[in-house]
Amino acid sequence: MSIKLDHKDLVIAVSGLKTGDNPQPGVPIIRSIRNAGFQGKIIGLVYDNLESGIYYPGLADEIYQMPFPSEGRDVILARIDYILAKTKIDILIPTLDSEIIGYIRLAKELEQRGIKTYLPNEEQLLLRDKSKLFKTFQAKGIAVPKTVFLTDATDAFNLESQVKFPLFIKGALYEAYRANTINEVIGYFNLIKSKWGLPVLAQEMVFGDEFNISLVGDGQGNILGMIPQRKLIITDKGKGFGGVVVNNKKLNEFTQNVVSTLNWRGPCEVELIKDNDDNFFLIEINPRFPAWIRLAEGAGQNLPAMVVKLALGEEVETLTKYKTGTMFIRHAEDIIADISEMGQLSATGELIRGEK
Amino acid sequence: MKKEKLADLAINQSGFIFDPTTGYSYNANDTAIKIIQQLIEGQEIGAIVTELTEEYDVTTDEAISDVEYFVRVLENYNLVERSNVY
Repeated sequence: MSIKLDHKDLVIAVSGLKTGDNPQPGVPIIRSIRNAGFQGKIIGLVYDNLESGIYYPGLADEIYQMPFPSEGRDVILARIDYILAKTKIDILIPTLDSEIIGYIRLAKELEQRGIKTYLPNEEQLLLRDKSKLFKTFQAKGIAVPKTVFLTDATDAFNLESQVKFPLFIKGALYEAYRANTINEVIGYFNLIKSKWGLPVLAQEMVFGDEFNISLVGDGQGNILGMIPQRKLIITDKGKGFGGVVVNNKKLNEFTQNVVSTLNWRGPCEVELIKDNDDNFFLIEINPRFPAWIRLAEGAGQNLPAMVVKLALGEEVETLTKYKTGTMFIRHAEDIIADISEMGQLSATGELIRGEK
Repeated sequence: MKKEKLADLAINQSGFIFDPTTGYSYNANDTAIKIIQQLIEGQEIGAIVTELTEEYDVTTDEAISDVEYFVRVLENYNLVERSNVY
């Protein structure tokens, strides 16, 4: 069953329009919404004038620069109020890990301004934080690779007695590096600490196939739609640039347990690894759609369109069927635009294209 | 022999096989595809060997050896499981 969006005067704001080697999910989310027949206005919320989706033809009708999440709720709210003086926003879909918590905390203020979201609550969000993943899920019988917190470079010297090498050294929000030795641990610890702060995590490496699942939870432990894929192409940054949709009973059950444990509400991406003995391990839960979300639409479940309907409070049917064997391969393409568009955005912090 | 997984495979007549439970894909020749289909239909290895000797110019020993090797390949890909060897 395909989801249709026939709301004509609706305005949807989406963040994260960067594509390229470390793509953000905004562009594919908007494309899936458009492909559901959406005729309303799309607003792009960006942090950088060079986010490529700004210039993608027919994607966003209006673009507004946003203050970084670290600037705090008042600054973000003031910017939203400025935008609302120019255009209404009915639905906001944040797509970046770093901005989700801010929008969750602003839920009431957004609601007062007529802006709807479909996000988890703060407790659900924090339970899946990388720093809490091991504790949250291991206790529920969901396997997670052993994880140790590093708060000082000298902690690296105690690692060998606690976890097996090689390890992944991860930032709490972004970045992960494989470390084979204590020296490498110290190097990556310092690198990640300087960029993303503490804590830094050391996680045992599980060898096997990587599976990613994009899904939408209803907040009561149920999955409203989900597409699992096995990564076919992995870049040197660990990003999946190709994948194929699979249907694996054990994987489905594992994912359902994860969602039930959190009572997750909204979109997310669950990352798993299956070892050579067919055991699944939970690696990460990202609190937003992944950059490969168009694969869901391609396999028969337009999950971004579903989230639009859920945000509006409309009934949706649980999607259980999808087409296995649907694959994606990421394709880099040059977008041609006039520099005056970037100029307008740089000078005024906004880019308005025609009336809608 | 456990061969339930074979029934899940999407087999294209051009020899492309996709395993929807793992996302792995394989290429196989006509004979291999035919053997997989015979295994899915529940034929015993002895019957498959007999059919091979009737269709191709091979001895029973050669056919047994080839089928045995092929089943080991399937085992290696976790597509079938055996507790003992033919």
